[in-house]
Amino acid sequence: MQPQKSGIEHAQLKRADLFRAHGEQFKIVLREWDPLLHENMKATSLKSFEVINMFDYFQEATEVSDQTITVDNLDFGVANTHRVEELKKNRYLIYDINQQLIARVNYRTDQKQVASTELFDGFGNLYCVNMYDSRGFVSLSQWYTPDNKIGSETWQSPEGRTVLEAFNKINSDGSVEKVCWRLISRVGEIHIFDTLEQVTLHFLNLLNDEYWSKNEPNIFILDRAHLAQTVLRYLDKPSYNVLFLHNSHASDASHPEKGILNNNYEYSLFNINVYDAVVSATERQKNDIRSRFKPTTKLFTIPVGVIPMKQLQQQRVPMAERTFGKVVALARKAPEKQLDQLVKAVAYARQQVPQITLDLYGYKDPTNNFLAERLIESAIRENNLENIVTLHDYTDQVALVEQDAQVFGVTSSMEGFNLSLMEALAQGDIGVTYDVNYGPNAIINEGKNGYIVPLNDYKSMGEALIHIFKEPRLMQQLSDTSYEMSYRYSSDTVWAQWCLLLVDAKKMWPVKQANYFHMTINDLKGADEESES
Amino acid sequence: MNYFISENAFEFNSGTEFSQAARTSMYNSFGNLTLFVTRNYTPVFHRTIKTLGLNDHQVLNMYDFFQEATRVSRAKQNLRESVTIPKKRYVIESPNPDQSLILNEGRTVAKVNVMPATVALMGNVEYFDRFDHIVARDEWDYRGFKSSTAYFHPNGEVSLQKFYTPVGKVVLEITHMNVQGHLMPTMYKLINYCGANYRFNTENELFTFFMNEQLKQNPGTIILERASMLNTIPGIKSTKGKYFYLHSSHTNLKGQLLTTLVELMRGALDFTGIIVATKQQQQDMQPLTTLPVLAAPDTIVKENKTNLLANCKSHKILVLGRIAKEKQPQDALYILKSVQASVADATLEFRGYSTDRQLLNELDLLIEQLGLKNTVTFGNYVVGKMLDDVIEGAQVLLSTVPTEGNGMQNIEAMSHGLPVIAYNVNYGPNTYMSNEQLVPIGNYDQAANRIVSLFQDDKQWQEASILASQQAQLFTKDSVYKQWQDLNLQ
Repeated sequence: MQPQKSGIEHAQLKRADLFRAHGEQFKIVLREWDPLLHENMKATSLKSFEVINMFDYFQEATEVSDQTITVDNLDFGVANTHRVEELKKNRYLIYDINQQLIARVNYRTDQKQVASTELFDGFGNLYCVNMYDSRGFVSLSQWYTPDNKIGSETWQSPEGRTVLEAFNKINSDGSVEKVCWRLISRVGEIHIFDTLEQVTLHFLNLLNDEYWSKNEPNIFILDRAHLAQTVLRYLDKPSYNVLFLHNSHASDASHPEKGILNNNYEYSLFNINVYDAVVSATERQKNDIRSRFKPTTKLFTIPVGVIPMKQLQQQRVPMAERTFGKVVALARKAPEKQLDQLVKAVAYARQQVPQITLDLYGYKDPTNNFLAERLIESAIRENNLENIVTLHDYTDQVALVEQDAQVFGVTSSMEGFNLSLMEALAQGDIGVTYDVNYGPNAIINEGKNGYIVPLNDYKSMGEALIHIFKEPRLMQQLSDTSYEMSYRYSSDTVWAQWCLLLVDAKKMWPVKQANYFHMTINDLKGADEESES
Repeated sequence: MNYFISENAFEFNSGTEFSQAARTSMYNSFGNLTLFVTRNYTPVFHRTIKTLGLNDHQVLNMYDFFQEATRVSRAKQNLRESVTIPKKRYVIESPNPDQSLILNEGRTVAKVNVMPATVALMGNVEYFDRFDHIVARDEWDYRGFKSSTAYFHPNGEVSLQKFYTPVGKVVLEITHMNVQGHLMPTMYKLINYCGANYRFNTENELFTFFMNEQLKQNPGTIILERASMLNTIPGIKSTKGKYFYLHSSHTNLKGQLLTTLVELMRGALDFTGIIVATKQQQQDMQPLTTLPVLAAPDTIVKENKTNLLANCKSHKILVLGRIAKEKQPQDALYILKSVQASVADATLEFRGYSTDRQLLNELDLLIEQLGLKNTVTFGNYVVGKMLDDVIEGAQVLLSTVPTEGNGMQNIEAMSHGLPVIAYNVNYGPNTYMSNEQLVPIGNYDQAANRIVSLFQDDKQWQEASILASQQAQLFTKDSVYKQWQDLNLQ
């Protein structure tokens, strides 16, 4: 739940809002260790009890109240230390009376809260780095080898109990690889795992136990397949497992019926029938999945976007009150978004409608040394659009941006849904998009709330822009339809689609339980103590 | 309160620990409260003290203290009942009584080393990565709780040790890093001890801190028993005396002062005085130091009785004590060879442990060469009643040790009425034994002749036995305690 979220996290947050509003219990389950998670969560609608981070779970730190730890709170075990602040490096250096370096204290900029401490022994060796959780406790300690590599790592509870350890192998090329994990549970059980995936399986088993109910199954919805796809299928007890496709399943989204699969989904789709259900965000993708894989598992279509009723019923902004000619796109500046082509489309259209401008919002993807951004910049230079195209960072003022724009453009080569487009149309923007799978060509209905042009044909997109901007009456009509058609994504409509899945899960539960209990005769939980003591 | 301080209590204790322990028991039996204090970490400490005749109330170990575990009652941890091994996930295989394997789908993820001399109790558990490299080792205390975890650098050397209270709170961390290219413990860090952290560069510095914490609560006299810990003493702030008990001669065989004692003798280490076992050594040492040198026995015998020859006419020669090069065990073999010329059925029994594999091989070779194969035995290290039986089953005790603090083994044997033949060495034997019991160092024939006489002349043996028990009279509890009281330690 980093501050700059991608579409998948946005989709999870919208789903959380939807489930919360309908009284359906849920947990956002996160796998990666993140000392800033609970700080970042404050910017979302999530409550701490709605989120279970795996490391938090083992660290008994799912709900911990904030405590501000500054350098003044630290105890290095050495009397009479003094410190020197290095403001540019956001750190203090701590010395003893003999001017020997005891520690470096790195702080976060707000309130100089301690982020980490680098500790030195009495012989000048860096032996440990302590990483602090934003809530004010040492979460992770990294223990160094004499040749200054991380040898092992230990995670602690807020009270200081060691709960999880990872051990590194130093490879012959000097690189460091985690090859062993050891977990010490709160009752004292000790587990050894080879991989983080095995740790994840154990964690999911514990969750499945903790929330087990005879009346309904735990439903695990896998939003990022790589985190658990290899282990979710091996849970000790039954559950209802769902793969959620947030993107095209085919590497080449325009040829979904053949070719290499999207890396993220390859393993899961080769094992598609181990899932109880696979959800696509669009009907078109669901049909493509069905025809390519012919799965026996159930397929559902559930949009990832939800537009609150309040927003659908709000005051509409007529086209005349918006900045004429304003085209926007809200997307990461990443290769598959091809935003340089949107710049070219605008350049083309400006030959006929010179008032057209373009604003691009989104964080820069660093892939290939920021290639996507460099392509955008060169397209701007080539067409002399320096004063016409404005590059912005990621914005959290989405509604204001979209209410001032008239057209929302999509030039991606691949999509899973495109939440931004859905939201823009709900704000009355007119959509223009390449005919791209999946999402844009479902959200936009040709000639009704926008236009769909052939993939990678920026001139056609330019023509579409000219067509829209030259006819004010048509423009208002398209905008009105955008507002109207957004009811397809109202929370009631989307919830109804979720209910189909929830009902199926519940319906399957007696069968699943019966199969499980048939195999195991008795649930062995607890039986070991009775029979072996 | 008195604090008698040494490194450790071992499975195989040496004379130093026996002496320290016997004195601890003696002081306490006279109502003079005394603790047997040790510095080293030993998970089986509370068992080893039993072999020294001590109980939990008479001992104080530094790690126990910081681990809040000085008084913990024992709860046996059978490995198959240990909560640490989830049996839903792991198979436990026990290929032999000393070791069990913890297997996950056929891979050994951990090995339980059974606590020595127990049936299936948790000793330590070693955990392995999938390349079979050790990653961590948990040590279990004799009393049944997980006491510490050692982590390992990727090259297999210990990197970090964490020590726990019986309820699992981390109270101490030891870091192992390089100093001038050599891996060694570089930091001892107390975590949240009375609300604060403290760090030390060495174990001895931690020990000094530990003793100061004790003395704050219970001021008392300190007697240090091990030279390896001399440098812990200057930092100890005591209102009472700080003494060093020297359990050996202060010189090497060439008559040179031991280098470990130079600073002490110079008076540089803030001691109040030095105590030795014999007046003779006291007199030799006093001119060498500004510190007062006192003398009081290191040995306390629990009884002194006369044995009957009928019980022990075994022609068995006993050699008692650690088998080490500096104790010249090969001399006893030459003497035995000589004895056998007159008493063909004479035998020799060594009782004591050895860590010197090479020496044992050399002794085996010598036994072979001398043709003593069927007449020499090496018996297990024993204490208590078993030791009593060994002493009472022999007909003479032979001591070929070239230098002594007092010769505890001689006194122990004499207290059972066992005649002793010993080298006439400093210090000890020549203060409590008479001339006919002593022979010059290295004079095998004379030693053999004395033994042959004892074996062949029953009357002489009986007189020697009576004399031995009389000589041991000096080392009974009442006698020794009085000698200690007369020192008037501060």
